[in-house]
Amino acid sequence: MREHRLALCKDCYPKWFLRMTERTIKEWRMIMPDDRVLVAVSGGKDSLGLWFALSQLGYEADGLYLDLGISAGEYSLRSKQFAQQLADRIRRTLHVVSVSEEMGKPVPDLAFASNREPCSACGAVKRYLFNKFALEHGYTVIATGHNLDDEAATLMGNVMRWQVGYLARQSPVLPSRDGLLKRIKPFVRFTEKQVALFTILNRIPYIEQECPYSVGASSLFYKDLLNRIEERSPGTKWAFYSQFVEQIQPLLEEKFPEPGLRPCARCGMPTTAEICSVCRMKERANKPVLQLSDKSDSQGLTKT
Amino acid sequence: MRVEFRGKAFEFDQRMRVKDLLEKLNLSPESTIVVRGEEVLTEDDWLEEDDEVKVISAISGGALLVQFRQRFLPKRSTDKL
Ligand SMILES: [Zn+2]
Ligand SMILES: [Zn+2]
Repeated sequence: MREHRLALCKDCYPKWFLRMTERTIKEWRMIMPDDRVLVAVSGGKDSLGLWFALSQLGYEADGLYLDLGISAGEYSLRSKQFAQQLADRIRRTLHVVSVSEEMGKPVPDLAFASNREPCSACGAVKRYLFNKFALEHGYTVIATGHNLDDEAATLMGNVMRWQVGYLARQSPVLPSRDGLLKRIKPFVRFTEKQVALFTILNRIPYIEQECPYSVGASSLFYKDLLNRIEERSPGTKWAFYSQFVEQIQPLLEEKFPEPGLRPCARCGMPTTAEICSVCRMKERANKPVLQLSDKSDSQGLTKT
Repeated sequence: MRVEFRGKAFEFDQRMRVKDLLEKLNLSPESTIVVRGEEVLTEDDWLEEDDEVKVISAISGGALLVQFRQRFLPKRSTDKL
């Protein structure tokens, strides 16, 4: 990989990248012939690159864009435009679901009302809505653009705190179970830079601006640390991650089986509790009392 | 040369390799791409005095990372900006 990156040839690189993507998909049995694939499209380089790569490889994948309702810097508006541009180019359907319409409030309000970090609330809402939409529309696999840097940083964070429950479920493929669709990450063997190169060389415009709410995300810190290690000792990132998923994760999965799921009493989606966390968030965010405090808060912010 | 990075322009008046530029900007070559027009450059490519290049952070959240590095991490070797 390293030599290839140094001798970057514009014609070879995308072909090599596609071959490696196909190999990952086959090795991990990510997509079966009858599968219908839905790509979680954010408008960033990873998800757009993934959608493009899948279509180049002949997979008939559609995209789902979740409008999070983040107005700062026109983040949601611009990212949606990039997603639509690619959809037009590869002639596939881009579905758009608005979080505000589904949940009664945009992501920032949901996070605020439920006292959660925006990123954690956002992640929960995204997983929920992707799964719900895919189930309702007959898709069988949800593909996300997570790359090696994302996965290695997550792994490092989970190892540092020995989050064995999370570690047991960190895998490039999560099979479907009890109403949760199969999830795949076909880009896990590529670094962030390799994915960016693929996207740039294929002239796919993407949103470079990060989500305005991701300030201080600890995954950034781990990504940076891992890159420092990689500079000194090339190949470490991949060894760290690949050895984990091949050797350690299967052992953990056996030792720490996932808790059973049952349908949420409100929405019917799978959950470990009586009412799922997303339904709880939705209820709290839409209480009349909180609507008032929301208003005064946002006015206060614009004045100062 | 003129360097565009995160919407800002920087001027450098001597030729240097891509990796030197990244060091000056305190960026990791592992997470940065430098392009000159349509051309993607490698770490060892030379940048000439009249070049115009764009530095792209491959890391989602890259701007935050730069602020973070500048605040918390020691700069590398001969780093002057
Ligand atoms: Zn080549
Ligand atoms: Zn529910």
